[in-house]
Amino acid sequence: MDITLNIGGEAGQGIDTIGDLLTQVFVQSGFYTFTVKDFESRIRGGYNFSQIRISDSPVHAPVDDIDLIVALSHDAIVGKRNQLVDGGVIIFNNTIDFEELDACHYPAPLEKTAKEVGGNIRMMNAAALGAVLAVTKFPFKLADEALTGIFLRKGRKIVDANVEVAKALYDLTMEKWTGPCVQDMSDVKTGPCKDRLIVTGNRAIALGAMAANLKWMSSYPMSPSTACFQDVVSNAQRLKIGTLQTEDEIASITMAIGASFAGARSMVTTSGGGFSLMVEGLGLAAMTETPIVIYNAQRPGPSTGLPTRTEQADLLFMLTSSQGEFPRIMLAPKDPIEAFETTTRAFNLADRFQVPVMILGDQYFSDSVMNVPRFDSSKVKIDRGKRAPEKMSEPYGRYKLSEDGVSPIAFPGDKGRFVVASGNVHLEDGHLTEDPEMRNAMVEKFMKKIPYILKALNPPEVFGGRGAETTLLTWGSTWGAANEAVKRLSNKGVSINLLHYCDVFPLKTHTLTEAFNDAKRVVAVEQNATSQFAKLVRMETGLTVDQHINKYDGRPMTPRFIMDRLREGGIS
Amino acid sequence: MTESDSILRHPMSKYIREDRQPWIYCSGCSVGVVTQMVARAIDNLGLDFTKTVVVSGIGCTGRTSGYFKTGTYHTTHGRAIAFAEGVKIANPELEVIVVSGDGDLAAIGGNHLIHACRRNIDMTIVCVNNFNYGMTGGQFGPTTEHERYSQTSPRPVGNVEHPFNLVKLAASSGATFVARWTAVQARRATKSIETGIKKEGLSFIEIIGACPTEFGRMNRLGNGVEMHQHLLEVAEIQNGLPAHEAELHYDTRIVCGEFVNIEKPEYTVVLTEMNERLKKG
Ligand SMILES: Cc1ncc(C[n+]2csc(CCOP(=O)(O)OP(=O)(O)O)c2C)c(N)n1
Ligand code: SF4
Ligand SMILES: [Mg+2]
Repeated sequence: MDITLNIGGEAGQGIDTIGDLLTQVFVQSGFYTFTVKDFESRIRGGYNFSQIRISDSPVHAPVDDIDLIVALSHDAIVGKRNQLVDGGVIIFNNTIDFEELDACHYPAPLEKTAKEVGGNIRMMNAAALGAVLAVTKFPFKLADEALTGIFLRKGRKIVDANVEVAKALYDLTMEKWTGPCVQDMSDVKTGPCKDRLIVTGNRAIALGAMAANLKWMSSYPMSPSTACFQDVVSNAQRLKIGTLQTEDEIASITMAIGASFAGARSMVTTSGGGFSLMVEGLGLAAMTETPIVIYNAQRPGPSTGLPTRTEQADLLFMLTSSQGEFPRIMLAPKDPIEAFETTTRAFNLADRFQVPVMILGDQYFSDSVMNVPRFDSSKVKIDRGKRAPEKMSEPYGRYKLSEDGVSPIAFPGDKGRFVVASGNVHLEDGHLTEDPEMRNAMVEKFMKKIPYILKALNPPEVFGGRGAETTLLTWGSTWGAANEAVKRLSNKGVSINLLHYCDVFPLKTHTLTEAFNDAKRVVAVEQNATSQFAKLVRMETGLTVDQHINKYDGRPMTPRFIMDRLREGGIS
Repeated sequence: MTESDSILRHPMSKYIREDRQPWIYCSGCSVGVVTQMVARAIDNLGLDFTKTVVVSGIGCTGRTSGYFKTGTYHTTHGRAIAFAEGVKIANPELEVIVVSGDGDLAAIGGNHLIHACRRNIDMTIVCVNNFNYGMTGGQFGPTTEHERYSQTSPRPVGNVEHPFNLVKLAASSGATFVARWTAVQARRATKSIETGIKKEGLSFIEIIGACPTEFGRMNRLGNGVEMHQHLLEVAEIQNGLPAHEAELHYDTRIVCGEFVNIEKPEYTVVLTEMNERLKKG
């Protein structure tokens, strides 16, 4: 089973509540779900949709074909018609004025049933659920159990009301609607998936940070990162995390550096435009060797760009931002599962090497919803790096030169010691200097860290077996679509695999060189116009990819998009 | 166009880009009302459209500039005033009007606001204060009252910070014309915007508005109509009151009026005079 539902309408009409309910029902019934959100930068009106893919095997990317559309507005009835498969159905609220009815159209009394049976227009989500289930002949009993699971904590009455509304439309549809539907799920049994945690990339990052004993987060709202900040804010009291919404991003990062200097594990969340303002702070954190974790949920730029859309075009900007040279770490998790783990690692890396660690997400990664196994925070290891011993024979110097470039850290307030730091070039004791020898020593101290960082990072992963003729090269969230393209092509007998990077910088080159040796051709697949990761690879290794696949329309990558481009390059 | 169309056309439609309609604003939002105020002020003054530049930042209010048939510029978040300063100084002939939100002008753009007031550059700033960041989903901002709820100051604690009083801030920073009205006092507000545009110097006009979708919902203040009714009830007109007494308590008392109207040499005038002097000298 592999079915895609599209729920469309205006902002504020409750697309998300319908989507959430459908997702929960299928998750409770044992299926894998993957939902992308497509919305305009406005609070009301317009045309937005959630697209839910449901399958009995894991899914990590959206597909272009849609089996079923639930439309709450006229625009939504017509908006995705060209992607509807033959035998697909468009269910829409029958109060919408729409006359060009085809066989695929099903005007259903969603609003009416919600009001009359449930007594509340807000139960339109249950009504929509009933219609979807009936059209696909999904056994109602399965959904009934799921609804009970979902609503029970709100009380029996709510469960009953929702079940009644869903059932009313289910029965009505079964009786009245005789149209075609490609998807027949009448034989469906409880699915194999036991993963019940429904998360977005944003939430997985927030959970990872909190599991890593985050103690400070200062941010300024910016789509698509805001939800991550808000998740931490709503748990701040319980977990004793200092959270502060600042007046801008310059203040966000500078406060976080202050909090980190005082000993708190600190993080900021933003998007590219906000990161632009943070660049000054990035340099300060680097120069003072103050650990900091920066999460950039990328969106298309430059400037305000497309606030609610997706892109991976900040890679080289983040790589080279700030004046001067210093070590930095960049991580780009591919999905929520990896995001949780990557975020916990980010804090350890920041503390161990006392460098800025940047996590790169993007709107597609940040807002997409999937069900995953529960995260186990008891397994999270916390490594705060080298602490200065309590008893020291000589006075404490924050920047003591050492073999690996990392100096033992102390925090102001530690007994009997003064912690001196400066954004100017400084001596081992933190006071500033213009001495050329010392300048060299401090630059070299920075550089000494890099081989150790490289050792600590994860190598890239190969998907689809080694030694294929064609290797796709991806980083971050494009993995999902590329991995599915590889699977589909492999099934057709094409010799193709995928080399994927989460830890993108500093670049580990061993597997990469191997892949370039093994493959006849390497194809970079990136959600940007200039193949920034391929450039990074060339910069670090001199290796050049053979083909570029780029998408920069702000909409997420799909397997078909990749396969179409590969076909143009002679691979199919 | 049919006859009924022409009857239904809004009198201000000659200033507004109808091809960009419908508005992005929620129903019950004040931003549309304020857009109309600015259009009427421009109409009443008979400004030359080609010599008028409407500048805004980012936010729901920030989308206003795009609806005007003048020259418009949609800057980045917080930078409307800095950009407008550049426009005005480069060509003092232009009439420069900034329309933006409380977050845009007083949080991320707060520094530009106080420095533009200090410089006294001839421009008119219309700030729609809806007490939160509407566009990003209702977080608290620099004008959100203590203990109010928002996405980032959730129940049960609410906002731990205290708000700016923008009238006091602009006045003490050196603005030469400062007024405050609510979105329901359309005629008076429009008059103040006109006075502001005519004024040779920096004019700051705060319009207290309703964001029913976010701020209103989270603080249980009712729908747009109810919020606007409330604004009418608590608005207290005190023209000429010293700016430092222009209190704002959302629940009980919003002091409205024109508080500052003083004469001070305007930046671009001084600049031009100095240039003349240098040329002669
Ligand atoms: C540098 C930067 N940071 C954050 C944002 C996200 N952002 C867009 S609008 C906005 C707040 C708008 O609030 P306000 O100015 O009060 O306008 P309103 O929507 O309430 O009218 C924010 C934080 C951005 N666009 N750029
Ligand atoms: S979110 Fe608030 S400010 Fe934005 S358009 Fe809606 S009501 Fe107006
Ligand atoms: Mg606002």
